[in-house]
Amino acid sequence: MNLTDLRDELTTHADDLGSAPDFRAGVADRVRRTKRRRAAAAGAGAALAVAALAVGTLASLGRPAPSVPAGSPSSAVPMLGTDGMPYRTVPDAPGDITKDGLRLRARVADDLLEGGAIGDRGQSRIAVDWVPSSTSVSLVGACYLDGAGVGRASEVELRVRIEGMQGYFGSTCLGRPTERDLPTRVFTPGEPGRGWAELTVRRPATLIVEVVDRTTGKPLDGSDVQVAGAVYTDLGHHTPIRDASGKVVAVIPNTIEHQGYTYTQVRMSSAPLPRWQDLTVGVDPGAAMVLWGSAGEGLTGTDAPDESGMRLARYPGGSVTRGYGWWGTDVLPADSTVRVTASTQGARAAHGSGFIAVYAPSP
Amino acid sequence: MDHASFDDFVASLSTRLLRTPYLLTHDRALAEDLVQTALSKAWFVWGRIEGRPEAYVRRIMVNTYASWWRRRWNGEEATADLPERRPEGHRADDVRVDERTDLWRALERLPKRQRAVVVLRFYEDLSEAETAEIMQCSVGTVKSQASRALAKLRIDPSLRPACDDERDGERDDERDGEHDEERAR
Repeated sequence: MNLTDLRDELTTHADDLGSAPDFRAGVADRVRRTKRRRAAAAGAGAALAVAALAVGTLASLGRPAPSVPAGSPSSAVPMLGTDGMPYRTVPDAPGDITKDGLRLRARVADDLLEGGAIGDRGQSRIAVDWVPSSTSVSLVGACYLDGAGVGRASEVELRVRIEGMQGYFGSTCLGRPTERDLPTRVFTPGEPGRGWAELTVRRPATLIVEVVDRTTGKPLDGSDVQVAGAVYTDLGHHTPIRDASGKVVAVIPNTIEHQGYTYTQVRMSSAPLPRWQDLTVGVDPGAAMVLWGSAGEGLTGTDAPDESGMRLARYPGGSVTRGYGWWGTDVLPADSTVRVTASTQGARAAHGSGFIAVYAPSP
Repeated sequence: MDHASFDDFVASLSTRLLRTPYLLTHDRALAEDLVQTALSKAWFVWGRIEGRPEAYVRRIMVNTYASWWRRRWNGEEATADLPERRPEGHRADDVRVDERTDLWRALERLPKRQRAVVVLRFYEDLSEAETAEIMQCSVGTVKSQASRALAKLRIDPSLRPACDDERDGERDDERDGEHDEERAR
């Protein structure tokens, strides 16, 4: 072995690699997930600290954040988004709440808006009254800081709570979003599939969304802040995911939406993480979505194996990884094959379940 | 820098960025994962990167790779074709092909940081100082890691020269290598 051989070897393999795929969509997806994850971590920490809104598994953060309802990608020649999936802008509908380029949709897939508000710029607190028709709700809280740097964002905290209850979900403030539609599922309190026991059907409740000083907890004054909040009721059908003991650790929707189009679950596989084996799922022709990951009590907490998790390999389309206890959607190129692999380096999760569900365009 | 320039950066440099992690991981899917991980980390600080963004992203990739052992999985190597059988009476070119395969495998056996030094020094052609900056260590560490890596490659059983002529040739190359490192100091 000499240095010339070494250089040649490295160069040859590098040259054989060919062109890289376009990473922009994948990177944008990871950035979005990181933001959600950071918000989730803040929310989980705050909720645990005050132990009141309790029961909240922040499962919703692993859930898809569908943007809009409606038809099928095959109903017309669709535009394509940056991720290669059909894309369309859905016009405002009755019941939508809009302000300053933001929108809370009245209906998104199976999520129905029960109440919501988008505050004025400089208004750091809003209250949303509603009468629960179900205990299966998700709470939305969002906070935007105009032109704020990391320093400013780290000084403030967004709190989402129910008036009269102790505790809150905490989150962080972000810069102005590039997408118009706010997510429908930010916090989903309660046990998976069983609703939120703290809530009583038909008893009026008030959602409070406010920005406070992170250190003092006092309300924040500032012209650069804008908050929004909403309550959505989940009317849809779901598929329960159970762990080895039979306990439901997550419920995944049978219908999801992506960029204005709906997708319906066509197959799903799950298995307990301790005996997880590589799972390969074929995808039918046509654009599709996959919802995958793992769920289980404490998987994302302090007993979670650090940096271990699951990996989704898409051929073609590259791979994505996701830590234990997190799940969400990814796009699938047409005619691809999906393989989900649980990480086996580091400690494998001792409980919980992994799952993968494939969604096809709704007819 | 705004995020539009980030998109331009990603679009124009993806192929170049992919090569280094591929040489580090020897796995295209893992390399793509590493690039996306590094780029998404860079996105959050894009407006505050001082100097060349490419160097910054490369630094994230190398250091993420070095601390990434727990994220690896049981890799399966899918091959489209069966490997060709080695011909009975091979020519000199055939021997060279086999040596490259052995060298690639020998590189896989290097510890991560040593492999990173090898890739940065002998593929990226970075100086010891530049390599040290990317790996966030001292120049002395780069020297020692490079020296150990080359020593390991030289004594790797699959790369030992089979006859005295080759051994003599290697000694000449070793002297060249020493001069090369000397120039880089």
